[in-house]
Amino acid sequence: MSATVVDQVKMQLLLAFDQPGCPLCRLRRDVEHSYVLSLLGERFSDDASRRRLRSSLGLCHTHAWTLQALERQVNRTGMATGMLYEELTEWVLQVLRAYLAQVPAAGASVAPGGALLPIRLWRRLKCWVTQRENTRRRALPFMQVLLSQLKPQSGCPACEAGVSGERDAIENLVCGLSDAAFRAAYGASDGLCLVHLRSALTAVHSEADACFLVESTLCKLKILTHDLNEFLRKHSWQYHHEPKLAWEQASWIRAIAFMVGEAPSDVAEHTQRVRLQAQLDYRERVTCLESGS
Amino acid sequence: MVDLITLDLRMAFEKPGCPLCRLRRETEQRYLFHLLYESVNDGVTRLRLVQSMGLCFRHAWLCQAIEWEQWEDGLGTGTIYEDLLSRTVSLLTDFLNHTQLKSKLSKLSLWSQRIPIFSDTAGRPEKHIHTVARAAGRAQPSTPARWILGRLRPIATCPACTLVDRSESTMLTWLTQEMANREFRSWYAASDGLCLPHLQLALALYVTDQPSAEFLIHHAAAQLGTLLHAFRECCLDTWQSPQSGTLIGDPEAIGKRLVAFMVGESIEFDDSAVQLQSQERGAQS
Repeated sequence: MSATVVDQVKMQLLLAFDQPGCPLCRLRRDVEHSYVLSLLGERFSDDASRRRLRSSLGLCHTHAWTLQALERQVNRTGMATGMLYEELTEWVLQVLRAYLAQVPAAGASVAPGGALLPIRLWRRLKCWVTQRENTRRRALPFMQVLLSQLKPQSGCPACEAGVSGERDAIENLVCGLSDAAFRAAYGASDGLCLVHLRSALTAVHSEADACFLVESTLCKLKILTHDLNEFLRKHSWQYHHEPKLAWEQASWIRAIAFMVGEAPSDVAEHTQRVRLQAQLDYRERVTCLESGS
Repeated sequence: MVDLITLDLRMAFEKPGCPLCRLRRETEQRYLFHLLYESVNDGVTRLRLVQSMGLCFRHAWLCQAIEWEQWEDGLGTGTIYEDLLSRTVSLLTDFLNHTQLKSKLSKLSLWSQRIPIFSDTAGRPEKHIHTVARAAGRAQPSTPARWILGRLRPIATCPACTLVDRSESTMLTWLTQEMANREFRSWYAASDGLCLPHLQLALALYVTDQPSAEFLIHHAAAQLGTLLHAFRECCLDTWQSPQSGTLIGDPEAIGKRLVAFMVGESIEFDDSAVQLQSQERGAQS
C-alpha cells in the first residue's frame, strides 16, 4: 500500500474485503445498523433526531423492524422502540381526531339488515363513476389536507444514511482501483453483487477500471455457475451418490446473493443461520481456490 | 351471497394484524410456492423471469426461505438462478470482447490516418472508413461502461410484485365498496383494522364516499387510542413496580403493534401458512 493517508472508508472497505459476501452490501448494512442502534443510544434523547423522525414519520418498513429486532437482540426488550413510536402514533392520532372533528357528521347510508342485490349493484356502479379525481374531491372534503398531513416530509433517515455511506464506499472503491495493493485485496474478496457492480460501473473513471471490475466478477461468476451446475447435476438419480461439497450446497443461496444483494437480517433465526452458513461455506471455497487446494 | 374476495377479507379480519398486510403476504407466499412447485420449467414463467432478471430483493429471499422451509433444498430456486447467472456471464463476456474490439478498432483508426490511400489529397481521412473506426474506438469519457450498463438492467418488473400489487388493489377496491354493507362493517369493526400505509392508500385511491372514509378513520383512531393507552399503562406499571412480576400487558408486544400500525406488519415468514401447505401436500400425495 502506498504511503498516503488511508481514510476511514477505505480502511472499512479493506476490512470488508476480508469478510464473506459483497463488501458494499456489508458496509451499507453496517452504516444502517449503526444509525438504527444510535437511535436506541445517543440519539434517543436527542431533539434533532426526534424532529427528524417526526418529519419522516419514523423509519421505513425495513428499518423499523430492524430497530425492533436489534433492540430485542441487544437490550432484550422493546421499550425504547415502543417509546419512539408512541410519540409518532400519538401525533397520527391527533391528526385523525382533528379530521373527524372537522367533517360534518354523515347520515347513515346503509339499509338495515344489509342491502339488496340491485342496491349493491347500483352502489358499485356509483363507485365506478365517482373514481374520477374531481368527483372524489367533492365527495371527500378535507381528505387532501389529511393525506398531506399524513405524508412524510422526508425520507427514512436510516435509508439516507445507508445511501450516503454506500456512495462514499463506491467512490473510494473506484478511486482505490488505481492502487495495485487495493486491487489485489479486492480480487481476494468475494466481489460485488450485481446491484453494486452496476453502481460501481456507473462511477468508474476509465474503461480499464470497468474491465477490471467486470473481469474480476466474471471469474467469480464462472466458478459460482460451475458449482451451481454441480449442485443441480447431483440431484439426478444417476449422480446422487457423488459427494456433495459444502460450497456446492451453498451455491444456490450465493446465486441469489449475487443477483439481488446479501440477505436481509430481519428474518427468523433459523433462516438467517442457513444463509450465514452458506456465506461461510462459499468463503471457504474462495480461500481453497486461492491456496491452490 | 358472499363472493370469494369478501370471504378472504372476512377471514383476514378474524386474524391479528392488518388484514391487507396478511392477505398480501399470503398472496406472495402462495405465488412463490406455486412457482417452485409447478412453474420452474414453464417456458412463459422463465421468459418473464429473464426479462425481470429474476425476482426483486424481497421476493428472491422469500423464495429461498420458502423452498428451504418446505423441502430443505434449493433445486427450484437453483434452476431458475442458474439460467440467470449463465446469461449474466454471457453479457459480461460480451462486454469484455466488445471492449477489446473497440480497442483494436481505435488502433486501426490511428493507423489508417497514416496510410495515403485512405486519405484524400488534403490529408484528411476518408469519411466512410474513419467515421466507423472512430465511432467504434471512441471512448465515452463520462460512462466508460455504458454498453454493459444498458444490458444489465431488467426490462420488466418483478412478476411477484406485479401480481401482489394487483391483488392488493383488488382487495382494497372490494373492501371500500363493501363498506356500505352493515354486516361487512361489523366484521371490519371486530378486526385490528388497516395499518397506516394501507389506510393512506385506501383513502387516497379507493374510498369514494364520506361515510366509508369516516368509518375507516374512526376505527383506526379508536385502535390507536387503545394501543397507546395500554402502552402507557404498561410503562407506568413497569416503572412503579419493576420487581412485581405482574404486568398489565407486555410493553414489547404493544410496542410492536405500534410499529406495525406505522409501517405495516413484519415480513417474518409465516410458519403457520407453511405448515398448512405441507399438510395439504401430504393429503394429496
